Amino acid sequence: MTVSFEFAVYHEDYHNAGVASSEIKKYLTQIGLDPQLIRRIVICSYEAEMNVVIHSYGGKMVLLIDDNEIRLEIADKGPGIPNIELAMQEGYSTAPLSARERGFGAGMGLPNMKKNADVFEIASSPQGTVVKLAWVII
Amino acid sequence: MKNLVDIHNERCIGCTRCMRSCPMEAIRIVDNKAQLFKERCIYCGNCIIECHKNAYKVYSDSFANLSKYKLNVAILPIAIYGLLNNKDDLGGICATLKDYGFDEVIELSGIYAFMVDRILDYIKNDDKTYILTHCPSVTRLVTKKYPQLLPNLLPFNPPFEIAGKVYRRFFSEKYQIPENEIGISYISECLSNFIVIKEDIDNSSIDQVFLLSDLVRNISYKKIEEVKAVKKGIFFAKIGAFKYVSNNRDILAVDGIRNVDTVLEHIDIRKIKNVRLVEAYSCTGGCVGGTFMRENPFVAKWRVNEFINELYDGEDFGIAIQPDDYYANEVTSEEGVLTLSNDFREAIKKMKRINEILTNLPNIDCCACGSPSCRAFAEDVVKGLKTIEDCRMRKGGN
Repeated sequence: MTVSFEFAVYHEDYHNAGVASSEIKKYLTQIGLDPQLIRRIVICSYEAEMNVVIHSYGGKMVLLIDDNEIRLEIADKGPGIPNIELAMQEGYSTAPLSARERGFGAGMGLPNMKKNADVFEIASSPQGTVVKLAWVII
Repeated sequence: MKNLVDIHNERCIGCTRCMRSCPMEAIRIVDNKAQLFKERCIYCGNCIIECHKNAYKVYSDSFANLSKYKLNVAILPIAIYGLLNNKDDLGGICATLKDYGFDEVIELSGIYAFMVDRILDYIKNDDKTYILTHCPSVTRLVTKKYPQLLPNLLPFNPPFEIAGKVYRRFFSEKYQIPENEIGISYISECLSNFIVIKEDIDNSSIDQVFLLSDLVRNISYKKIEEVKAVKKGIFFAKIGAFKYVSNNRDILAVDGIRNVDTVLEHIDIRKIKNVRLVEAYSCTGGCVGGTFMRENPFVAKWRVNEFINELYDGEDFGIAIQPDDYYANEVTSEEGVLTLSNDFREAIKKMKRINEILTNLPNIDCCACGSPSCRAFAEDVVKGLKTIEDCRMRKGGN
């Protein structure tokens, strides 16, 4: 049995940034997941959502819940990450001034996701970046 | 136990105002009447404030009970300062209360002022983001929605509880009366204080609760006596007091229960860092925005400021307060009130069903079905509270 949710995320839509993560938190609470696990998932979804808002041309987030695991897949429409290895370093940021002015873009997004997810995969091309995260339910 | 809050069915017209104002989705309209789901309620009082038909009934205590005690003490809420024009008015309120049968009337500014240093000392211990526990609705919100933040709650009683213990001891010594023969009454400015006391009346230091709105109606503004107030404590009638009196930069002040909810969410996912204390109040403007204040919170805030200007600094409280008075019992988590089922697989099944139902709903959250949103309606259908026919806007429906 799998339940899925899809959320659209728009470029530079700071006003609604975080709304999808709030909803994700609500649904995970409703299925009775452990609050500590929920926290880790929501930290990731929030970082991912912000990344799409700041860096991409827009994209979507898909949350998949099944009996054994929670998956979160974030796909955007480009322009892609030129150097993933560099982007994975803590503190490395390419965020524009408009993001930094709002207190975002500290260069902790991807490292934070990797730290809080059980499975972390990233693939990027100029056509778009796909991040796949997963958590095992014990 | 009798319900503490009820709905007058002859007054309720099923308008959905209260339901839409509820931050916990704890209200539904059934057969054109509002219905409360107590297990979800955090007593913020939004429903009572929103109701324009005065359909909510709150069962406060009866003044006849005052005769049970040898000495009756009335505790005024800190928000009382939002109703005063000047210092003489406080004397007037005391006189009115004494006419009702109280022997002593005290106010809370001394307790609030005392707690400032205790709290500042406590939060020095580590670098957690602590949450102030002056407002019981905030504490409730944490236990029901953010159980993982329970360790972030300060371990202190709300000021009225502290006052109950302190003054019971004080007046017992002063008049040489056994403590159990003293009746302590709290004049509550809000629903949450009223309910936390009444719900756990056996463990509370308060014996009876009256509503501020019932009392101030009959105030005679005649001056009879000076009431001692501590300037530093009076700031706590409104939001932002802690930040103001402690001049601390890493204190975040937030009012309004939905804003509090958002801030707690941010703390939970560590989006807010470097904040040592969250001064959170369920009501707009802090306690001056209480359910039973009957004064606009912004006008009340202005009155508080005016009142503070009349006072001198450094008025002394002068009553001993012990750690036992202010350390609270551990708060227990109420995890699970928001889940669809205790069984994880069952919950996923229900969630899937909810999503299926939602695809046939208009998703305009019109609330005409009696649920606060289309999603909440789908949940109610799955829970068996409603049937799909209850949706008046359904695709293919009538």
